[in-house]
Amino acid sequence: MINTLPISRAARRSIPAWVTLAILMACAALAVPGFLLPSQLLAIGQQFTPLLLVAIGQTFALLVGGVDLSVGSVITLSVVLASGVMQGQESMALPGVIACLAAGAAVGLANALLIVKLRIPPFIVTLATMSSVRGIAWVYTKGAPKGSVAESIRFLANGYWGPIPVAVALSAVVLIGVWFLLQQGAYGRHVYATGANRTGARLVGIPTDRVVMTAYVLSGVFAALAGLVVAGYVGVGSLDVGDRYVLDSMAAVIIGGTTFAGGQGGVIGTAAGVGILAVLNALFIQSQIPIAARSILLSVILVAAALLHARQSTK
Amino acid sequence: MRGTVGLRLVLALLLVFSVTACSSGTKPTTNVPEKPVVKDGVVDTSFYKKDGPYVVGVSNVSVANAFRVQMIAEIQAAAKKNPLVKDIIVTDAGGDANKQIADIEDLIAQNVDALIVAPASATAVTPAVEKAYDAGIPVIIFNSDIESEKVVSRVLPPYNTWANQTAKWIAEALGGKGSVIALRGIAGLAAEADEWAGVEVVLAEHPDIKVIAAEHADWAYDKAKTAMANMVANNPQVDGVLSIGDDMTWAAAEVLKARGYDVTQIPMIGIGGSNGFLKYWKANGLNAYVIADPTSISVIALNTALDVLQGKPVKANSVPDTIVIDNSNLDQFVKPDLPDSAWVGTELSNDDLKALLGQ
Repeated sequence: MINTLPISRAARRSIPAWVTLAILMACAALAVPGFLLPSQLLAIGQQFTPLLLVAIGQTFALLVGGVDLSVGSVITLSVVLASGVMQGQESMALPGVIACLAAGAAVGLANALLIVKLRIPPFIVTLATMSSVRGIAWVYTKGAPKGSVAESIRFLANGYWGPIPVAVALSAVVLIGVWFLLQQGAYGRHVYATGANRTGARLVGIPTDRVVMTAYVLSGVFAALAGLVVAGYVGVGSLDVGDRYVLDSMAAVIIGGTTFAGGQGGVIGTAAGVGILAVLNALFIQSQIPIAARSILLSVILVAAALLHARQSTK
Repeated sequence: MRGTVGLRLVLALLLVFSVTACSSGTKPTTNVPEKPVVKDGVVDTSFYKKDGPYVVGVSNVSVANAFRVQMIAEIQAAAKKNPLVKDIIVTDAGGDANKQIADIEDLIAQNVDALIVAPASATAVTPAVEKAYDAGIPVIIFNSDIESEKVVSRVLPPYNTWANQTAKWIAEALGGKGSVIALRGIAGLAAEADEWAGVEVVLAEHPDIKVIAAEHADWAYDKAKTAMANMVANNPQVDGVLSIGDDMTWAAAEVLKARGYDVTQIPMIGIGGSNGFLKYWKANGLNAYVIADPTSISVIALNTALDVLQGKPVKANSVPDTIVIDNSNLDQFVKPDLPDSAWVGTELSNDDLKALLGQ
């Protein structure tokens, strides 16, 4: 009986991803001596903090049965807004952060309204906003990202508290918070129920429209947050800096066991998905695997993950 | 059914109009040869001679980064100052080759006197460019090349030579031996392979210089930072940084410094002239050698176009001057008041750059 509860199902669905991650790390340790040194793993974690944040947001979109293609553009917008508003001034750090998060929330809300009120498929809506948000970033910068981010934001992305990268510590807190939100309360249950069967959920009195809308707003906010970390890490942005996060975030979420159909999975699996992509990337570079082999290996891992989850679903 | 017939009639009429419109726009010019007449690398442009001032069309593929924005700002500023230019029309294709083809056709239709193109790819816009040439409009290509004979002049950075020259410096700085980490551009690009070939010649001459790890970081700061962190983790002995883009050199220097290396003792090279790197270089006393990739390359293209329209002979292939930045002249180039995103190989004033790029 307990197995039918979505909570434990979410945990179970993340198991293949964690097992894959463990195997991958074992392989990496054999191939590259010193790979598993804590300092090394923390450095990898620091590099992949933006992906983790955006993938957490993407998990919400997939859980309610949608997808968010606009996250890459939101990251780019957040990067150029952060440096443009802050202009390197510490006093403008907070206004810059607020501007970025507000912009992310606004894009998410626009997505949500189009999806919920006008009933346009999420793929099309977010494809459109991806393009228009990129346009806004272009208009804002006229192509040349202006200014620079405040030193405190750089510390957020690059700094250390003792041996722990600040970015890793903060994203761990965010991850636990989101996990708690999804597993320990009415909102989480509503998200899973809405994603699994929207009509059914509505019939039992769940405000499904509001649930879907919050999911997209959260996705936008997390993408903006990721953009802030990218801005701190990169210092100077370019107008394609967010692009690669669209597919990477979707890959991480899917590898982590959240399905396109919605209602299954969760952020703990997503964390494993991000971990797999991060370890693979580090392994590729440290063992100097040729570029061509990298793409092929990556696709094998994706298909293997999909197969594992598919087998699990049929059980 | 009747509605469909009417629709077809309208479409047919539109088609006829568009065909006649095209044929009147591209009136064949009889005195322009099949392809440019080149002798000893110099192009005969006498048949393009006409009275100024001129209208110059510029088709740019994208302004997706500060380098390209600055490059286009340079040509606009130079055109404004030059009495030979009546008007300059700049189009931006947003990175899309199809849009660039349409842009070029628009510029032909607007009867520009000369066409300057920063192309999307080696082949995609060739037909449009050749159409302009056949219509009697001299075409100048800059920044990256296209495959076509119907181009009057090309202005391209000699990346192979520059990469070779920077690699020679680091080989000497290392005394001909040591372990270096290499940072390369986008994998699979012909231009990148050509640039890297300039480095490989030097590596072949110095067998004791070992590339212990190499990564394609796409000339980008963020990718280089991740790549460098991983390469250093596994190869702690780093005697030099062999990069073909100085945004990547900058990222490498930051990673090395964060890991406790003495960055003043590790020779580094790069191509570009990124103000962010130059500031970091000055602040941290690096031992570096950079060749600036000038954003003012667009101005050379403009001046070539104006020469062509005055019937002066021009070079079929010209290259920007080689601007070397090293520890002896760093102060002349670094711009402490300007943002990191500025490029120092520029003819724009600091005020213009500030207006363009902010603080």
